[in-house]
Amino acid sequence: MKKEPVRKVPCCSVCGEPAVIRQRESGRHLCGAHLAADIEGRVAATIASERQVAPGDCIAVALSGGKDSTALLLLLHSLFSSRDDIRLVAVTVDEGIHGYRDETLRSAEELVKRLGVEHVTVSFPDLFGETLDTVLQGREEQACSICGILRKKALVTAAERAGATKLATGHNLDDEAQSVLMNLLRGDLMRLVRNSGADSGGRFIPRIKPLMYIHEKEIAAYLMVQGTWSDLPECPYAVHALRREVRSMLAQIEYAHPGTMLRLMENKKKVETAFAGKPAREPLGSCRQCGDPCSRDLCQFCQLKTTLWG
Amino acid sequence: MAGVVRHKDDFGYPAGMPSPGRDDPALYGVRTPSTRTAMKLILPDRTIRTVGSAPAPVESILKREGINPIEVMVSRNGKLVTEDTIAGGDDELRVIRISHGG
Repeated sequence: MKKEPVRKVPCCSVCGEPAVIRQRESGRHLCGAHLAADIEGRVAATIASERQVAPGDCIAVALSGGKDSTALLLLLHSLFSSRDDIRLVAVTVDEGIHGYRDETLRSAEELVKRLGVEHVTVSFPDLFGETLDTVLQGREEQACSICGILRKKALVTAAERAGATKLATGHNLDDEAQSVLMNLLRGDLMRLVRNSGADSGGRFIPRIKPLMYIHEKEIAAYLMVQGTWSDLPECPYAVHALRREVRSMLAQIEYAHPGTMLRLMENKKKVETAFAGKPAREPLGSCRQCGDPCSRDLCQFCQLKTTLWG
Repeated sequence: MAGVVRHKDDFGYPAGMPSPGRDDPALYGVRTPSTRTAMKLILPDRTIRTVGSAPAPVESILKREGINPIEVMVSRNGKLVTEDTIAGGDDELRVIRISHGG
């Protein structure tokens, strides 16, 4: 019988079981069970410190069926399913991306069924009259900008239909750090200090990001140990995105200098604090066409609508 | 010849030496069973690479392939491992891409 060579596996810093992840900032190794406990604790701490959820809230959880939104729904379900004073509703947008969205939609439907969570789905054809694939014909270079604006509008519509008081999205630490860097690269200070999670006085549904301090890799490992990981296809339009370049660059810097992403987020907080109530923040007005809250004459959606459909 | 490094062929015979594998037209270019072991690296696009059997941290193996360890997860023989795990022998390493964009 073949003798297996003995090669040591790094062990969990808490219990000594084989580790599934090394947290690079601290150098700590964690097994599947302690990774799950660690992530649940940090998400609960983010929700509490950022005051993201209050008793009586109905949280619309943006669920695409991809890894981040799947982890978000699992975590919020684990934290709040036993609470009578908090309601969870999953909201899904079907943009109409051939060969990509069908698979993630199936995954989303299976998850809500398994958890017994209410589910509201809206589609681009229902809301805007055509699929994203059709909208983007000849405009592929602008795919992420156009999709971002239409998807945001669709998500808000779905959240309103669900009667939500909060809209939770699955943005993770990597996404958020990339956004900080992208806003700096674009010189967009207004967007850098904008806080869409702030109390809106009822003018819009505040957006919350409970995974904002969890690395993308931790989320992937969390899903793998829970047995809910699916190797889904990449969005076919992602190749056109500036984010793709920023993601790769930032990942290289994070690898060489662990903690870079967290430091970017800390600096964003400092800038937000420094600009709180200052004139650098754009005053919130109303869109002259649709009445939605916005800081210019027309909201982004109405501007895009004019460009796309006249 | 002293001081000259001769590279071995696929069959373990140094270049320039008679090799039953390389020199036999019936066997030349055909993979024959080898007693040597090698690690198998399965990349996210499902291509398979052979990366030698010498023990090395997963992190080094990934870096040699131009893969940033923080952008992937790796399983060894079906079990999730950290990038500072030592792999070697005939281990099978599967690289799982974690970012899907969109």
